[in-house]
Amino acid sequence: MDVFSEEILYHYKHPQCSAPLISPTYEATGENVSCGDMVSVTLSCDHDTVHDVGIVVSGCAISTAFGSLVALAVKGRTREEVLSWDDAHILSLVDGEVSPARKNCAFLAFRALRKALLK
Amino acid sequence: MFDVSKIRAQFPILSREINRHPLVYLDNASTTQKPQSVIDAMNDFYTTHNANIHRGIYTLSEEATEMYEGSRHAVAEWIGARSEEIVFTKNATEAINLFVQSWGDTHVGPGDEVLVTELEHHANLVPWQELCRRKSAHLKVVPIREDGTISCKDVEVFLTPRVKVLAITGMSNVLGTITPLKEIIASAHRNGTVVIVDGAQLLAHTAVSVVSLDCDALVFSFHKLFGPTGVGVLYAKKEILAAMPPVVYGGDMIEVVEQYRAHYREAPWRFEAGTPNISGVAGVIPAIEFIKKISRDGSHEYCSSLSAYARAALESIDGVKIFGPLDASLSGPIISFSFAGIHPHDIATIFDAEGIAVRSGAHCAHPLMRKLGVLATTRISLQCYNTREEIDRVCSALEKARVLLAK
Ligand SMILES: Cc1ncc(COP(=O)(O)O)c(C=O)c1O
Repeated sequence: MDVFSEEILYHYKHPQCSAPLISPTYEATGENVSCGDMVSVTLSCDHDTVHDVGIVVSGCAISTAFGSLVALAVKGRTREEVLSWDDAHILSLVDGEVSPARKNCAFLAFRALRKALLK
Repeated sequence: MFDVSKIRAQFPILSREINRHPLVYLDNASTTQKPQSVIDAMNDFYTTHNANIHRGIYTLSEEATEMYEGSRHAVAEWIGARSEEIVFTKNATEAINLFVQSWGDTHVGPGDEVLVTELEHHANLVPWQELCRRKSAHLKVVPIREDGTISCKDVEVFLTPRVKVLAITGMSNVLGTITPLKEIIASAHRNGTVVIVDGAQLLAHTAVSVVSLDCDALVFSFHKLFGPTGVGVLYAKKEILAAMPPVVYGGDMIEVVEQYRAHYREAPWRFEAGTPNISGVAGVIPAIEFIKKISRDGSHEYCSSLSAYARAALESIDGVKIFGPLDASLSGPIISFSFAGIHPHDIATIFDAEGIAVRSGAHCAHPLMRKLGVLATTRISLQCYNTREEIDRVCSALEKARVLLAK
């Protein structure tokens, strides 16, 4: 069965950078109102470069896995770089397709992250 | 005799494969599948009778009008009402909104109370919230008990002289809970309170007579009753409808139009402005005929026994928690559950890969979800074409979900 790739399953069961930062530079929360899934994002930046991040997802396998994937992806990137990412870039963080009905799950963490960086 | 294979043969979609598995459709509370007779009737309307209604003095238009008004008559007869008490709407939601904006806005005032229950679908909650805001009235909510039920006594506690209207579901779309409508309605009437029943789920599983229930109004959607989408019904007692002003104005609902004012037709036509869903209404009679036939053959008993089988099967799985009435007789064939800490959307995704369609989420009932202490549930809702083998497939799909996702 290929509903969930190995990569998604790995990040779901072992989410990376999933502890909130104590004194973040930026923070935001997000929710998918249709299902109630929630995320809280904390970031610490140094001269506009993200050097640490904590993404805590309370949600499904896809939103949890993408929280982890996004967290790893932003580390070491500049604020500007991260803000230039689009949805397609987020989906390309894993091989394989995310079904249309589940795309919102995949974007939950990234949307909150953008919100944090735009504050 | 109830023969499920004969029933299934009438539903073309049930022979579809989804992801290389035979379709198991268990989202009937959202919408039911359609039998061939309903599909044929709509097709036949467009193929041979299509014209607008109430307008043309020519054969096609007369045929269309006859079909449309004949369908109204069939609905009335089916629920024990009179034709002039049946208003066609787009769905149950629109029917509630019509009642709220017309009856509610003219009968509910500052300081009055509107009573709903914790079981309500957003469709039977949000319009009342808005009415109360517009009118400075108060919305009161009858809480459910631990097991998801509501008794007549629970409602009576709230029946003060200020309660103008009670809006209550006959069957919860989340828990399957059946409310003791008859008792509650009698009690509300002793208090001078008008009762509108949300029958969206109830009518799919129980024969309803508005005479015996004595509700003042009742709403439902035909798409949950084997009929087409886009056809809903507001039933209201004749004297109630007569005191309701129209809320949508335009063609077809008028008697005489002068340049600066107009006179409206009587109910129900005054509530049906513009061209309605004529081809959808063409599917109403076959849908009612289908329900009457399967009920005579024992579909309600079949669904209850299938529901009991499903509950027992799910309960025997480690990690399953079913929400709602433990006593199956207090509930229709709608089962909401959680499983092993796995998110309902993930369960639905895994089920879909097995060809199984279920609903996951908050089921348009956020306040009820909060009360249950969950963000979402997985829900299976049964109909006459479902089988025990399909329930068994659900159980094995749950075991797959456990292997894949349990932490
Ligand atoms: C109890 C209940 N009320 C109202 C509705 C609204 O029905 P519709 O979407 O057809 O207007 C539903 C549909 O899900 C329902 O289950």
